Amino acid sequence: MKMNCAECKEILVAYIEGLLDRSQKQAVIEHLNLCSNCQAELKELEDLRDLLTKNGSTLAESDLESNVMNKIMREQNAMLKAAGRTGKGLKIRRIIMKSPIVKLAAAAVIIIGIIAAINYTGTASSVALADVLERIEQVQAFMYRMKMKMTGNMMPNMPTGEQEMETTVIISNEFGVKMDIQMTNPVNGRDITQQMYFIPAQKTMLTVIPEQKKYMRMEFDEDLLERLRKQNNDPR
Amino acid sequence: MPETDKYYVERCLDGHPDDFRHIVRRYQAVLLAHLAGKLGNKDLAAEEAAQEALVRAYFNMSNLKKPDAFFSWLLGIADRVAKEHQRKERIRRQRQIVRSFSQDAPATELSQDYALEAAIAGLPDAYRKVILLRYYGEHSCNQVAERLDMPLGTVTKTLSRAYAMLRKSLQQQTEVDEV
Repeated sequence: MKMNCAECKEILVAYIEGLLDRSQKQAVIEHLNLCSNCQAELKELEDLRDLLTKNGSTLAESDLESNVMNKIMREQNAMLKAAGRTGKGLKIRRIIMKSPIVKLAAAAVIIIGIIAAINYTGTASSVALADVLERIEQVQAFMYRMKMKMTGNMMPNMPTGEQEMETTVIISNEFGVKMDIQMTNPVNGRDITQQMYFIPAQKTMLTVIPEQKKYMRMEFDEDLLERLRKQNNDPR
Repeated sequence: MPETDKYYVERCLDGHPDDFRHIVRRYQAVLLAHLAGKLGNKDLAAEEAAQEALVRAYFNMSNLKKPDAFFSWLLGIADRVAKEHQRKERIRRQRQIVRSFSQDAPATELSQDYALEAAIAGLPDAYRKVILLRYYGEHSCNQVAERLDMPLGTVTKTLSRAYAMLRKSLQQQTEVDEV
């Protein structure tokens, strides 16, 4: 296939981008061998491409990531505070949690916390539990221990598997709920201890993870508490 | 290609704000090029504007109707940030002039280094996007086609036209400089 200059120039950019099929490429090469005009054109296009690539890779080295993420977190916190002040409140405060372990721990605590909260309100029960709960409602404080096993992929970025937890719960009518949770980090096999406090008077849940020197604070609003109460399906 | 923009947008909206860093990584160079072309990078103007655009994008993501069109939407935000920045800069300069009564303030402060980016900023929207993604976002032509939802042939043609326009614009810049 013979190619003239106009045809060649038309597809030179595709040529330097490596987008031509074999026969087109061959035709361009043949034309370039004979045509100094198109060779010069090619050289100019390549220079421009090199400049673009060079500037692009220089800018690609810039690092906005940490600045942007920090700004986002600062603004998000400021917004949450403002929302708290105006009393609007968010459904549940979203907490930015960086490490997957904290996420897993938080997920577990939320599950247990909600179970505990339901029990605490004193209306949760099944028919079989009704008698027990009635008695529990008479007492001022009580404690129980539980063991639970979760299976499956619990959080993104975490290996699928089983997670066992041992929990000691102290519930007091006057002061709220305290839970001590023991579990094992599935990634490195280390033990994780967590303390969780649910303070109904402040509608707040605090979680402390001593090993990681981290804590989380969650606040419930009236809507959520109301929904939890409704989900109880108390038969009595 | 790694995850789509749509995937990350949905992850962020779903309560994983940390995933926004993937988007930052993907578009930081593109935004810097775009904004440096408009503002220059004197006193890190482009860098600040790029950060501001990303932060705004994050907080307005729930208003984004088509997560597939994230890139165009982000450039739109960057354009608004650039306009605000230029307005502030104009006011600042006017004040300075009033204060000093000295020689005229320089008409433009685009640094020579960003001549190419300035030329890119002057391209029509469709051409600009292809150039930015291809060279600053380090996308292959196929990836550009996918991201902008156009056939590969169109990407090649657009790129070809964009090269021609850039060459013309850079040539004009040099002529102006020589005068």
